[in-house]
Amino acid sequence: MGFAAALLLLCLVSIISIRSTRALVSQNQLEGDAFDQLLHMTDLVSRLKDAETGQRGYLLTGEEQYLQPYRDALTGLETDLKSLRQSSSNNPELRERLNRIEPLIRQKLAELEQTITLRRERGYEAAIAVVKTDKGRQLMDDIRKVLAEMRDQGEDRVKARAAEAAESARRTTIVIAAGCAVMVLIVMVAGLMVRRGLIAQRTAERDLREAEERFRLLVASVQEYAILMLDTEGHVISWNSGAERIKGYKAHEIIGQHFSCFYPPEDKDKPARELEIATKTGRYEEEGWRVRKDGSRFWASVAVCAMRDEDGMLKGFAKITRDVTERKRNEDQIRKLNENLQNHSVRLEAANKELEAFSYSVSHDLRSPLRSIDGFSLALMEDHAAKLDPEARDYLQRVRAATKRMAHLIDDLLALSRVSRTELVRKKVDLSEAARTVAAELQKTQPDRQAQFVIADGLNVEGDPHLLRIVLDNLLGNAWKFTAKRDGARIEFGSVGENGTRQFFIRDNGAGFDMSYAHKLFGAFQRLHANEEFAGTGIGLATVQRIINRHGGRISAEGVVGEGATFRFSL
Amino acid sequence: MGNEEKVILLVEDNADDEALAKRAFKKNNVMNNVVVARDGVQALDYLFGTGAHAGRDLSIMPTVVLLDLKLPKVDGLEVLRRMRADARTKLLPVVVLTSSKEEQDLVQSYSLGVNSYIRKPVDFEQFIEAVKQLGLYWLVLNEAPPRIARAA
Repeated sequence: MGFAAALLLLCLVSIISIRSTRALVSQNQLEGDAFDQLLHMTDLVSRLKDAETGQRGYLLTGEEQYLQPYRDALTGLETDLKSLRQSSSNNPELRERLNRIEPLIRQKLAELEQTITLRRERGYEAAIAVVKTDKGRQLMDDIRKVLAEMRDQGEDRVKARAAEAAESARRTTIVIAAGCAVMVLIVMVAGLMVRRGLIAQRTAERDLREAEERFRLLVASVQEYAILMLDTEGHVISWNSGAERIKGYKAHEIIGQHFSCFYPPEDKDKPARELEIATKTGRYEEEGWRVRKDGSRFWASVAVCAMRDEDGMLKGFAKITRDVTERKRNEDQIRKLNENLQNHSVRLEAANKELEAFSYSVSHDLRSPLRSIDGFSLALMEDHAAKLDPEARDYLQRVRAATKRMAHLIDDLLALSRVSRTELVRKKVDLSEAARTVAAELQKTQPDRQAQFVIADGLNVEGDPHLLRIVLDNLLGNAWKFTAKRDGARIEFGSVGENGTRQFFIRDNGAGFDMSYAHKLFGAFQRLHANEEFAGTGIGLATVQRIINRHGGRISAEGVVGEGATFRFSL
Repeated sequence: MGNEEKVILLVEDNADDEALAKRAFKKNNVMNNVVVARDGVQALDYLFGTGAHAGRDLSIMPTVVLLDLKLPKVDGLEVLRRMRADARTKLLPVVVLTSSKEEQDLVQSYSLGVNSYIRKPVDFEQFIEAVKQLGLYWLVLNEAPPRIARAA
């Protein structure tokens, strides 16, 4: 932009200078012309004088040779007049004066001619007579006067022209000087701008170099990924430390080689196809086997990108490879584990179904004979009481008791299996409320018993209401059972700790148990007391433990013989 | 108590359970005529007057049917289904008396329209009590559905 302006200015200055100079030249020309005119006018007078001299000479001597100057003068006058006429074409003043002077000159010449002819033809006296008339002298004076006027005018004009020429010259000098100054300024400004541009360019070059250096460093230092560049044919043109680590080649060994050497023999046509796809769509990604320098294989995650310049011309390819052998191995393992899991859960399903069928048959088939045994024992005792002695009656009682116990066992076993089988429902459960209900029911079974239940409030949890009820039935039922022989029985249900570390406890001051057998407590059918002391099947706690575990919690127990027991659990 | 007109149909395959049930009835002065069917086929024969009971007077229908689920040939649920499908027996009160407490049995029985579901207690004394209560309720307290008009 500035460049165009400068150029324009330059042209302008040149044009003005040229015009000024031309004006100067024409001024000079005019001055020259004016001077010429002046010359010619002075010439006229001298020619006339020459003519007169010639005439005088002839008049005196009558010899033809003295007419020569006269004839020359005539010719010269004609020439002068002609040139003056020409000059006067653009000078009306001159023309007007010429018009005045020319007839006078012609008259004078006519007079001279007359005298000369008279001398030639009539002699000396006749000619002198004309001379003495002074007509000639008068004419000469007139001519001189006009010429003087003309000369003055010419001189004035010359002076004016000279002044104008000087003025023009001065103007031109100024213009040229100014123009030069402007040009110098322009050159200086241009110079400055060029310098600034150079500095900027140098800074940009340095920044570019630094950036390139940084990028090179970045690529070179990446260890996890092999970042390399291929030319358009697929030969390696750059290599980074990640590539060396993953593929095994050092840079100088591999640069220039074709990248198909990374592929196993069965993938011979892959490299070409990859480049083709990358060229067409811009990138190619896949996972596959690659070969290291030592021949070993690794599972690679590969991306090939086509590199194009601003015009869209293909310059080469960028290839990024990652060794994901580890990941693939893990993935395969996970898949295998999942398959195993599938198989397992299928088998588990089948096992559960079997269990259901088993439970079903148990609930029918096992109970039936029990009922018969119990029923007929009773029938015997009632209907044939007379025939039975006390011992017989006693035996029958034992039989009946045994069947009852067996029935309980079956019920408990079924409950235990149901606990394992059923889906765990997660709901908000108010344990305080449930415990109170259980306590009330227990009290109802033995209304005369005095037992104190201390149940904390607000024991809310998330869990399966039905199963948790079984837990409370069992634990509170146990506490109730084992405090049967104590007066002032006290059963406490509460919790300690907050949220994450919350523990519930059921404490009683009943018979307690020997801690050295604590590990047997939760085993199925394990009992720490004889049946005569405290009835029970030994399944209750196993069931409780199963339920607690299913809720993701733990249960433990402490006891002191004769003082009581405390059961703690979390959910 | 003891209207001889009222018939009890006891469907039970177990001879012991049958004897015990009859004894329980006697103990509670339930003097009704107890008809025993040993399996599902016999039960249906009786109800519809087919097979062994062909030609029976079908105007006499049981006041209550005590039905065990585990039966040979045709099982209890099937008998129940057939009863509920036939207009003649649709309204008859059926009490399932079974040792099973399996939820699926409960659900199925009620879905098929059983009137009551009682689990046979192992303890015989309880069984007698249950029978007494049954008798009291179904034979005395309960309003029997109207007899279907004799259809030829």
